[in-house]
Amino acid sequence: MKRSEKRLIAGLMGSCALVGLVMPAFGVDFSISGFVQQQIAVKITDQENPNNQAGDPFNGKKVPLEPLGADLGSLQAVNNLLSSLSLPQLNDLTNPLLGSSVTVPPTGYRDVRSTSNDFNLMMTRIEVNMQAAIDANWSASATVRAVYDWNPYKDVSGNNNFYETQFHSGGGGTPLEYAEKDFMVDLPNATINYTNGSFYAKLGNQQIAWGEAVFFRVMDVPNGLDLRRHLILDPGLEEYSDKRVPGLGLRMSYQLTPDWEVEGFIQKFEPSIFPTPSSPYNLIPDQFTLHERYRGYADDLWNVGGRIRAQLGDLGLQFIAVSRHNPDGAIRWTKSGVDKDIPILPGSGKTLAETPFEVDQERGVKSQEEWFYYAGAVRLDGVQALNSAVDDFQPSTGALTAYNVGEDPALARAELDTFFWLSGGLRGHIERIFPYENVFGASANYVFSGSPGSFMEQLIGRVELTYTPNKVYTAPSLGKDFLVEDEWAFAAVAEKWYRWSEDFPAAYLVAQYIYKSASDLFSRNLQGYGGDENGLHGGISNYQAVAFAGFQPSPSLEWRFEWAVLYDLRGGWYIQPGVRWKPDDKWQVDLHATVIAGKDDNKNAVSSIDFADEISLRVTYQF
Amino acid sequence: MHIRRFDAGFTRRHFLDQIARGVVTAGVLAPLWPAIAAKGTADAAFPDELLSIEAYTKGKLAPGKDIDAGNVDLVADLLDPIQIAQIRTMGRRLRLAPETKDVMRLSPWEYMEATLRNAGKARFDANGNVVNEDGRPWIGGNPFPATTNGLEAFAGLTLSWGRHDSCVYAIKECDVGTKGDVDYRYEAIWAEMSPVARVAMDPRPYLEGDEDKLRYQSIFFMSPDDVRGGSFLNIWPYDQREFPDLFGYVPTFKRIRRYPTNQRFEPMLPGSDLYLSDAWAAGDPFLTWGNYKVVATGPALAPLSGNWSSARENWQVPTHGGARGNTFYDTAVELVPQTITVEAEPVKFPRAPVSKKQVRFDLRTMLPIGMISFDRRGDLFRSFDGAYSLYDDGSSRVMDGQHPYWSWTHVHAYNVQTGRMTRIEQVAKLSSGDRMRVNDQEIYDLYLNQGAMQRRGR
Repeated sequence: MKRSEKRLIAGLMGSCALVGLVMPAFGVDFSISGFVQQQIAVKITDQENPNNQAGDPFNGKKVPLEPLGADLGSLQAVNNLLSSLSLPQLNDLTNPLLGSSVTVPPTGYRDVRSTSNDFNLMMTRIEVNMQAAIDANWSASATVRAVYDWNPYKDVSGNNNFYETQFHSGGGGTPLEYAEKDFMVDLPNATINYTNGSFYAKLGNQQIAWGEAVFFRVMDVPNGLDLRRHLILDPGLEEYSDKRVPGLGLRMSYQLTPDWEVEGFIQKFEPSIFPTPSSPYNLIPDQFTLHERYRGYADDLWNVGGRIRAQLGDLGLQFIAVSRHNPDGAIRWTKSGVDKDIPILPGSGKTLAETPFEVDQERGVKSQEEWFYYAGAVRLDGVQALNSAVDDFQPSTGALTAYNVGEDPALARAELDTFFWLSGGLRGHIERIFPYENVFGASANYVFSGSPGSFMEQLIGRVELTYTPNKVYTAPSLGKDFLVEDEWAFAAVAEKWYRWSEDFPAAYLVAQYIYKSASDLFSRNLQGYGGDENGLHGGISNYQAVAFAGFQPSPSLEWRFEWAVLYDLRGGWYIQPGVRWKPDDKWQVDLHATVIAGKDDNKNAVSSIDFADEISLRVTYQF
Repeated sequence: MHIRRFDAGFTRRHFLDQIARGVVTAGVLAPLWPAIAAKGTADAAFPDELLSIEAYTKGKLAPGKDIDAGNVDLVADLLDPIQIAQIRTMGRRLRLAPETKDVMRLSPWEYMEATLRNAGKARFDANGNVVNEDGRPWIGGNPFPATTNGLEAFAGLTLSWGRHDSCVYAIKECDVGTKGDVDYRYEAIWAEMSPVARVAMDPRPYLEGDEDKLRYQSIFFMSPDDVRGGSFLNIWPYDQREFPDLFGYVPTFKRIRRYPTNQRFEPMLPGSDLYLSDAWAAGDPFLTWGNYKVVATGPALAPLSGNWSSARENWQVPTHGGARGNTFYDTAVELVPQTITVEAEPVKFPRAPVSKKQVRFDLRTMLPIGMISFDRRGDLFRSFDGAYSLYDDGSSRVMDGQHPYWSWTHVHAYNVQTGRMTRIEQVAKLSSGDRMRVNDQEIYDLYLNQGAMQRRGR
């Protein structure tokens, strides 16, 4: 950490302490509270995260390459091929100067050691919450959050980055965050609040959460998610309380009547934050380098939105409209900018720098098999991804003799193997931008009446619907023009507190259904679904999932048994049983297991994280 | 002069006889309410032994003395069985206070004044709701003063819990485990506002457009950190056949969600033994309970005065008893000349753990002075006994408009089957800066709408 940054953090903490000491002298009611928390996640399967180097299933495998389908079993055959490509001839079949490129027989060998991790997470967190009631109209609040990861997770480098991002100069994910590889400090909440009668305004760094569906984000559109700490694997019933990315902004509401309320916000755009490379829950294969086009591109954008809420007897209504930049963004190929020659092509580095690739014999993609495996896993089309990498970066790609293979998977395999063979491994470069979009939505909830004790009594039904016209998605080809589709998202929720017996408090039960017309639970476009070694087969037409979650408390609420089960209608299961123990007002212990199961055919959303089976323990002490 | 006819034991026989015959009257020597309406006290309605603890115990006990395990048998008829067990086995003590004669000191002044003014105007409509003589919602005060009808007693209580048009209570809760330790501590704000039957705040008696609602009520959890920012808002329809609307802000959700409201027999917080249904011993719409009947009548000891002291820091009440001296608040009790005990069953809650509750009312004010409930097997389950006071200790006072503030001061909620005690007290102010308020026009905006929940949430 730089000295100035240390000073910044120390200053921040010191200021908070000083504020706490000084405020009472001015007659301001100041309160402070918080917690210290240790979180541990233990893996329960041998499956490693394939998106990290040490979890790549091709590590240590010798994958035969078939450059252009040629027979390369002899020096003559090899030279014939090189000749056809106008490349220099070889004198023998073992040329150490070329590293792992141009091996004979052609082989894609990932010389990366696979690891076996016992832990996904060992994280210590401190949160300090401060509130100041200045007078009847004004108040202020702030939360300081500090997180440190003890780094028990082993990837190849041993220098894992858990938190540092490309977004801000201090490495933070938001303007009020400082982050290094193993720790982060931020102010997820820092607001000044004004209330006057039915009017309320909140100015500062804040999260905005809308909608009523649990876990399914249909109307919850103002903020993106920060997935660095524990992906989405915290207890499902906690929703995204620790995930929503706060933004600097102004939120105002006015209660028109006891039944009607209007609300509006303007908030600085902040993108969703993906887990970083080599971290346990990394989602982007580490053979690819993601360039975040935020700093200097999207760091001065603002989102605006409004909501109208009404409560008309048993019927509750909400209407929203948000004009925003999609925090999840859209990804496409970008120039690598890395001037590194293909070993047998001296001077080719300059040209390669103008393409989405760089030579990476150590940790790049080594074979077409690996290429297609990962394309399918991240819901892309391996064939068209090659074509767009070629077409979108002409004439450089043409200068390297790359060409569009059309719809022919065999030709794609041959071309890919050719380049992997010649280079000894390639790293892909991709960029994420944050397109503008409008989201319109409505929701309704209704409390059903039923005879006393019946299941329908006080059953709450909720529906939420949003429409996003011309939503911009990552194209399955990673092409520069992206994919533009209208999206409809719909959630239906049935919620019930049900008392099974007189001896236990009511259990909370919630059943949910989600339908999305164009993207999945993680906002990936559905046209990229179902990829395999032959590329794509048309994707899937819609995304549907059902979930059943709830908890059963003990009579004193000291214990709470929880569960959350999500079934992707195309065959994936996400199962999370857990128990919470709160023996007194200071301590709390949470133990949860997460099991992801089902078909691994790239046609269900949760198979992308089925490496994350684990048991998570969280011990919290409040002060 | 002592009237021979009312010798020792007369009143006991009188009340037992009334219960046996199923005809309970308010007052022994004269009808109670006319006596109060005439003089502002109940003295004319009762013999001496019901007006003084000294007379009742023939001098064995007097104001200033403590009731403890050594003498509780002298007043066993005046306490509920759980209180007696607490005194006998758990070290609970009760300090005797002088009897309060002036009924205007036993409830908010405006409420009692409206009760006197509006007596006789209330009736039940065809749906079972209390209406004024013009058929509109009730206009203020207790609609059925000095009633010995169980349903009327509960209707009056449910219509106005805190007896103020609006109020905010700053609350500290301690949950004491069986070993006598305070396992859980919470701080909360409880707010109420009546849009009907208003007697102190303009507009009166109705908030225009809200005549179909009985009450706005909310609770905001302020401490500890994991519950801070959480809140629930209940909006009660005036129609007592219907459940309130319930909205909750749970910090983990960071937004307001609608909740079902029929689960009213379980704690809201870990370790707590307070149920929504416990509020003011009438936490549910009164037509969701049924089979109301008066099962006992007679004098009682109740904490009606002397339970607030300006000398106590932040009004916090000292404790005693239990294994660690943490279990019971110091409480002053006084003799109430006549109470009725009303039994009711949760007819619209078929899975409630409670088979029935018995609430004891002070007939002078229809104030609930204690509740016990029974489980489905008929065994004693829980007790709920609250203490009240005028916030005026002679040296200092808290004002409510032109008169001293009257309210509850502390409550014990005890689960006799688990041995866990939840006790709550009303304090002047919480660390968050929130403070007690009464009949304040700002209360609705600050605490009783969804915007307030949102802005106080974290």
